[in-house]
Amino acid sequence: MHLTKFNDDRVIKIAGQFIFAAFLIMIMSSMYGNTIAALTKRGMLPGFKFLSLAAGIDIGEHLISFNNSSSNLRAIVVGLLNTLSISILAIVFSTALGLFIGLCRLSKNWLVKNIALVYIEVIRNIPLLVLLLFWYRAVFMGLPHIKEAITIGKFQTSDGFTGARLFFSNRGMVLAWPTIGTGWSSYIYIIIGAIAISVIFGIYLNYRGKITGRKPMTLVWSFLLFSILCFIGWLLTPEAPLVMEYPQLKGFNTTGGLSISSEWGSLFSGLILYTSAFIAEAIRAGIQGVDKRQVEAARSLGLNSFQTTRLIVLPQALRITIPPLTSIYLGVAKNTSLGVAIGFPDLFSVVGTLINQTGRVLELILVVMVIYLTLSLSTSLIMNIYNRRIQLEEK
Amino acid sequence: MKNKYFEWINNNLLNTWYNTIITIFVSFFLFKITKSMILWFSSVSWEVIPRNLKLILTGSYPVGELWRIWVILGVAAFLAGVSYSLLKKGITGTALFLIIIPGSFAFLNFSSGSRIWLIILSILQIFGYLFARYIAGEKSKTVIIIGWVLFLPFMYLFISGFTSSEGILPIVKTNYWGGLLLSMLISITSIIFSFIIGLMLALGRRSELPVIKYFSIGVIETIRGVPLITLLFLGYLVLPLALPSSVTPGVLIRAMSGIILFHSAYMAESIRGGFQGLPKTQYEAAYAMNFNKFQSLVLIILPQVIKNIIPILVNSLTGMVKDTSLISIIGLLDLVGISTAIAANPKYLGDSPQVLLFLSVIYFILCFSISQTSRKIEAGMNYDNKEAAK
Amino acid sequence: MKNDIIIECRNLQKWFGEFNVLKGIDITINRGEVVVIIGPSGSGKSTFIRTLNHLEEHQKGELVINGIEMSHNIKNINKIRSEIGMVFQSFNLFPHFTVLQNITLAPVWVKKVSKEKAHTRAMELLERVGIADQAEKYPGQLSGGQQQRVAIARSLAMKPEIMLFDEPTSALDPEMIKEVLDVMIELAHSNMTLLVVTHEIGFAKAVADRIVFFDYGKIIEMGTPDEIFNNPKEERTKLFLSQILDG
Repeated sequence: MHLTKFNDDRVIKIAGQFIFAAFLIMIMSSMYGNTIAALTKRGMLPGFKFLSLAAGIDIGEHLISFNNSSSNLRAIVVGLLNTLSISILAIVFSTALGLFIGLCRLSKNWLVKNIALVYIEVIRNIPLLVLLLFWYRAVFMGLPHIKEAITIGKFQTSDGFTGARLFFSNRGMVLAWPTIGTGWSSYIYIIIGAIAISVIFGIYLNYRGKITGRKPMTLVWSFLLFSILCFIGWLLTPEAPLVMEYPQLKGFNTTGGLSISSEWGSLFSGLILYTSAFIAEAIRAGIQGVDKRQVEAARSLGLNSFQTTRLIVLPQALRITIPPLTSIYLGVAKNTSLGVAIGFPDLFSVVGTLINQTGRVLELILVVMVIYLTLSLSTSLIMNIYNRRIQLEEK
Repeated sequence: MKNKYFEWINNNLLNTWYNTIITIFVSFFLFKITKSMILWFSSVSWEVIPRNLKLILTGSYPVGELWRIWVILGVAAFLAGVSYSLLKKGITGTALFLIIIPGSFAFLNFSSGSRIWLIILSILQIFGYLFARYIAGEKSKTVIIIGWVLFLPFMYLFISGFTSSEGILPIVKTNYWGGLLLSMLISITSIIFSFIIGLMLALGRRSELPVIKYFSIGVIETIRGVPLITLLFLGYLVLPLALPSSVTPGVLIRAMSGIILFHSAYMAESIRGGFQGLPKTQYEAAYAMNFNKFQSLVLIILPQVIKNIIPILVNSLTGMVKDTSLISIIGLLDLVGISTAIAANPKYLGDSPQVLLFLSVIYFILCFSISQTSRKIEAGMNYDNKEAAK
Repeated sequence: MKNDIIIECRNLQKWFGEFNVLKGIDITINRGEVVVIIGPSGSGKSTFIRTLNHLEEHQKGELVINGIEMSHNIKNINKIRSEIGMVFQSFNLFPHFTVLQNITLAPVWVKKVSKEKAHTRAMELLERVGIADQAEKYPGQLSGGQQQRVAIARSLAMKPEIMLFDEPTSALDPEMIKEVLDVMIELAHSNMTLLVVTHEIGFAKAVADRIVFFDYGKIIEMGTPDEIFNNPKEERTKLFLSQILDG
């Protein structure tokens, strides 16, 4: 009797799963069948060979070389690189901005605290798309035509062209940017030397820390030393290692300098404004999430403000902040897909164009989803490992 | 009295020397920025807004049928009034505030028809509140649940209509729906369906049967790992292919399926959090009362989980309102889509900033009210708990 | 012998906004004295001992600790605090450091003691409070009584002149109160100046040199345990004692 009961339960469980799986397979195969039939009607059986065909499109911004005879696959890679590069830059800058605003939120100054609050509340309640469109249509497109571009630091070149430190036009921004000069080859040695010295210094600091038991802020001091050494080295090099290249307006184009398109600029600005608000909140929650009594205990022992913040508050605040920060960062990468609304050739935008060109809906959507999924999952995995390592030991 | 203000200024703005410098700096910048904003505001033509207001709010909905939207708003106002009565014991600042908004808009420069409707809305809210407090009393809870549940299908039916063009409720095709009307419709529909699907996914994830469990996890993690726009494209382009050729879903349904699918995954995770927040003792108590797994789930566990996550649910409504803006990318004319259409109109060239600012204000009012309501609900529920403890 | 004044309070007054929580405290405490403060909740006893190490600031009156006046713009507050040990009701151990690291943290960073010396002293203290075997565990892995003993060891590591206790056993399960009180009794016998806010009357009777009864922000009565518990003079003292003593 005992045995039959046991069997009954298990039988139901296994049967239930079979039924569910069978049901699932039925639905999926019918959907698949429909899709194949519909695609065959259009004369396109699914397959990935089309990836090696010429794309026949132009992509405005590309980190690797690309022209309209490059393959579809290469177009996707270009899009992916655009997404990655703008995501990483956006993450760095929005973290800096978010950190600043988060600290402002915690300030004792009423003005500072509330301006930060208003900023956060306004941004959090507006869709990112609206922010992007505002930057693109209202700010960048509101700038004049290149011929009447707004300039900062204008001058005339010897050939009669107009040069400037900064050009603002509806095409975007062009700014003066350092290029490699004659002194670069010698300066490289100085940089290498500075790195070596700073690293040795860092190792020494860590060693001292091990002996005294007071771990110093190695990264901060080493970086400071590195910067000072590079600066001194710069002054000592006879020929300039880097030379500012000033953009010049020739006809309808500018040459030289760093060119930031309106599309890139809008996406970047929108992303950092939007993301910084969320990062600010996460940081504020992290710091306020540390029990005030921890600070009381530390101060009662005689630790000063700085030591208390560094040794007691920050490590605990970090534990609280890291999980939401991870999902915010993942959100940045996914949000770059909104570039499609303003014409920035991010991964999704490029794929959208390719779908239009090739009609290969199924394959391309699959490819783009797999790529985003891989990005998300690998980042989550790494952050999860880090998160687990820093979690507190509990009974 | 004077002393108090000086003391406050001293403590909050000027208490240390660097604080004073910061205050001076910040005030200076604030002043400059406000001045340039005011200058810009007055130098720019705001005509584009009132000229296109109907477009922004309702899209191409036929003018003669606008009364139907007012009716829907009226029903919602009434139900809202009834809901307020459950939140707090007295008329709170928020309730008053929310009643005053339509009332005050009535004073603005709208057509007389709209102004009358706005006043009716305020009256309906107050009526709903009084009705719940003094007439329905305890039965208000049932009224609310039935009311809101029936509201969605009623809203759809009423707005789309079902009679011929001579009847009382002529059909208005979905491609005429637009603007704020469309955004709200999609948001409300999404939250309901994504809750249902999210609940199924969350339960599936908790299942002991590996096939169901890993299927749920797979679905949830896949959806959470991709941007919303990919799912929108999936719905827009792939759904028609995957369905039998006789079924041709409209653009609206395709877009909504993408949004619903996207949000069900996040909803599933929130619900899962609600489950994890429940103390184990609840499960044990249910088991001890000889309920089987299904009964204990429905009667004991679920009500508590839902009650716990109501604030999170209401907050995800803000996410949904914002995410709806993405349907403009596939060509639907929601709030953002209309703004793109207006921007393309040569008459309003260069008026994009005004339109986008107006949109931002609408979105802000919507999302901010929703999050404030969720905070009130949260406070209201804690109040409940304290009362129960006594 | 016991005339060495270490804490002196004259008309100490404090407000939380409009609420006058300390209405004029006058008390002198000698080095090596064990003073136990009793009184109902809200009487200001916790606030009082928190003003002693400047966790709370007083608005009126004088407070002199070890010859130093504790004023608003006091310099060297950190050095002063390093000579006053404080044990909290909620232990307040640092959860991201091991027990040993909790104890060595302040000596190493504040007093610049060498790592080895701090380590040795920490192990001695852990032995003294009876949990040397838990040195490498994290606070989250210890029971309440163990955590509080670590907290006591952590304060002792700074070699303080005064030890303040703010209801040290109120957050403990009954079976763990004794282990903590035992440590505090041993401390009392070691000539340390102790100020203890507590409800543990048994402890007070055993080691207190003086009992101070607080009520409504004032000291109502002070005296030896015998005087206070057996012959209370004030009505309010009698009322309070009748409420907490069984008979």
